[in-house]
Amino acid sequence: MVHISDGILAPWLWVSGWVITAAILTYTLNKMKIDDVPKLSVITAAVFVASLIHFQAGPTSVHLVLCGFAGVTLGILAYPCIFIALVMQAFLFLHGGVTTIGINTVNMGVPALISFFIFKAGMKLNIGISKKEILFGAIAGGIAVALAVLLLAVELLVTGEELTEVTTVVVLAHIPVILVEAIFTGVIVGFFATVKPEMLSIKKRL
Amino acid sequence: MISEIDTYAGLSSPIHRWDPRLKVISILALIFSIMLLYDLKLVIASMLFAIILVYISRIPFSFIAGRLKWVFLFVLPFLIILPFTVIGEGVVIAHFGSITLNFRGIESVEFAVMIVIKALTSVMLIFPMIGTSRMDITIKALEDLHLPNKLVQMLAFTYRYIFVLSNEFMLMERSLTSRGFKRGSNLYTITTLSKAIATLFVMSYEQAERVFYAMRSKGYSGKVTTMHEFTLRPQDWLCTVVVCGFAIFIQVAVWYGTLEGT
Amino acid sequence: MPAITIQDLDYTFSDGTVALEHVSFEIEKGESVALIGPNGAGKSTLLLHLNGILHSSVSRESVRILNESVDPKKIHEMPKKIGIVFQNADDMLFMPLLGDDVAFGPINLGLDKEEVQRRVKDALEMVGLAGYEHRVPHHLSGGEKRRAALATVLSMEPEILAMDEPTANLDPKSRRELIEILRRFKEKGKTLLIITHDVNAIPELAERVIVLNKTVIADGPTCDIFSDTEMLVKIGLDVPVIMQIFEILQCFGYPCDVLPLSIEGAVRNLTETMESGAGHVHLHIHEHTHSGISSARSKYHVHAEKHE
Repeated sequence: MVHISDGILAPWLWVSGWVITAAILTYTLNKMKIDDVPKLSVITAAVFVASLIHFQAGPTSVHLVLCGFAGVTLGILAYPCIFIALVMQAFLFLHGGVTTIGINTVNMGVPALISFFIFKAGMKLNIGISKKEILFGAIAGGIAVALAVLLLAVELLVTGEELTEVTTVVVLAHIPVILVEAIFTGVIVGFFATVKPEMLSIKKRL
Repeated sequence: MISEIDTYAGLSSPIHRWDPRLKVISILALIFSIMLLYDLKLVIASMLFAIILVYISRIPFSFIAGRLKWVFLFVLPFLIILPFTVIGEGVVIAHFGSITLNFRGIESVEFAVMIVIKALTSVMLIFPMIGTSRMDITIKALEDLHLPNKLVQMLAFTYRYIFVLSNEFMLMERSLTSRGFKRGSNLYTITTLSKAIATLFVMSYEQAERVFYAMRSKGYSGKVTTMHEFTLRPQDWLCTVVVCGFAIFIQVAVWYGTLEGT
Repeated sequence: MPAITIQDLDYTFSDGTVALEHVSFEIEKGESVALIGPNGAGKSTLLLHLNGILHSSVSRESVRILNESVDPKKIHEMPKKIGIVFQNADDMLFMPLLGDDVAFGPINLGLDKEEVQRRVKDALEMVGLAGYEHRVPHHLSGGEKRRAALATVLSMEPEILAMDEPTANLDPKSRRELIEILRRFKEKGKTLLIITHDVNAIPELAERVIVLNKTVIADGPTCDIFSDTEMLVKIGLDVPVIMQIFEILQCFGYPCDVLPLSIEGAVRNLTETMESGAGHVHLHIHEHTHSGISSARSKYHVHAEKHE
């Protein structure tokens, strides 16, 4: 996950993060049925476990972010799932970031929602290739991470000019992640389309 | 693959005995208060306070150190990169072709150190907060604090299934390895692992379906109620006053400091 | 009074695969029945119909429990009547602590606190896990998990217990323990329906066997069903080992009209044979012994030449 730990961002940023997250959470939780809890939880757990896996990308090792994947499979309910995953990450597995759970959820949740709309729109297009899911899954997966990194970069820069160099490093470090994530999401969405189409958000009411 | 935060919940200490509802709220308030600080002395004082809390909780420092390394790795770039600049003003220390590396000054080092200490303190405080009660009790405390029912239930289930699934993934990876699969930096590795993860997702989705059936068979109609009841004693309030008191104290100190400054 | 009545039940999966076709049978209160059939025969699917989790849109009135038809809208009222234990214990144990899992059903039934606690204690005791309330389910062993899953259903004190594969993947001791728990449940006069591939456990647990392969193929007393070896082998099932051994003994001249199914039956049979044979059993190799053995072995798909 492209998360930021405590104590870095300016307080007004992470406070706004909480406000935005509270608003979107309220909306999405209302859309969610209590019957969806077990399924969403298990998928959240799976997203969490998958995000712990390292991929070797050139000289560095990257973690999957999976926000595009969450959007494509869960639709707008990706937002509460990402929130829960971040709560788990902060409190149970101590990757840092308690006050920043709000803004981290924005950073990953909003791209997840956008990637969901991109995927949905893409699947409606008639471009005459057989495996549209793979293509648009990859696009959604890549764009989601790119957006998440972009949001984070903007927040770091807004916090202070002295973070410019750090921001550059963070952005550069995530370029391989964007690629890995695009391939990953494409493959996995293509897999679902053949094996279990009801797992894609567009095939169900979620 | 994953070890549990509540490993030392079975110990006995004043923090273990503290009512989990007040404990969660108080320490959370403290973390937020510390993150608002931008004064190195107060940040260091807060870290000492956190260390005292950890000491009282009797959770071994070795256990905590193992976890702190993740956060440390995350904030390390700030410590290394932040004091230097290539575009701003500063003391020139090196030239790399057309790029000039400048040192920003001692304030930037202080700022970087502060970021690192704040990040570490926040993680350190989670140990007395979550690590001193069994997870299920903490989740019940959250329920008792009237967090939205759907969120509490998602937390409980997600927590439960993280262990089931990480075990499942480990088994799957073992079966890949036993058939000669090696991780490398190539497309084949990514697509193979992607498919393995996809299978894990499909399996977990089907399991979720079966769990839901099992719940329905046991009369589930949307609300999980549990039997645990919390009682508050004077000691609970004492702990609360101490921890919340410190959280307020550092904010007052900041406020007083700005008054002095003007 | 019938406990379970199924009349002309059909079920087709969303992908068009037919799972159940014209299934009909009735189980009386207090009966214990084993439901057997090959993999993919629809046994687990049938189980999910018993409390309305799955329901066919065409045959709405086809499942009746304790003489009342199952209404999919009132699933939460079913646990008092019928408890279902699924195949995978991890699906049944979803709470942070075992005590909560066992209390889950009773709380949903709206029982008061004391009663819930009593039921949790009783149910755990019944499955030999007394004092396990504060254990974490994912740390239990496979055998303990299976018994724990059973406890989460027993705590609702259902009239009928339906269990999917109670003995699969258990070590011999755990398997034994599970069989004993089910026997005790049965001895209380309650109705028991078990799905199993463990033919050696059936004679101890069920007096009646229903053979299912999308539809009911055979239904009758346990010894009758097992005497129709040809039918069982044809759909890929087996008969108890004890029965196979006595069939081999027959080839050696052992006099036996009805083949015993269980250890108890074997002891009885041997005792009777010895009593009628003045304290001895005579076995010998005669001209048909070898042909008899190889025909018996090939009947159970065991190819004699491979083992010799």
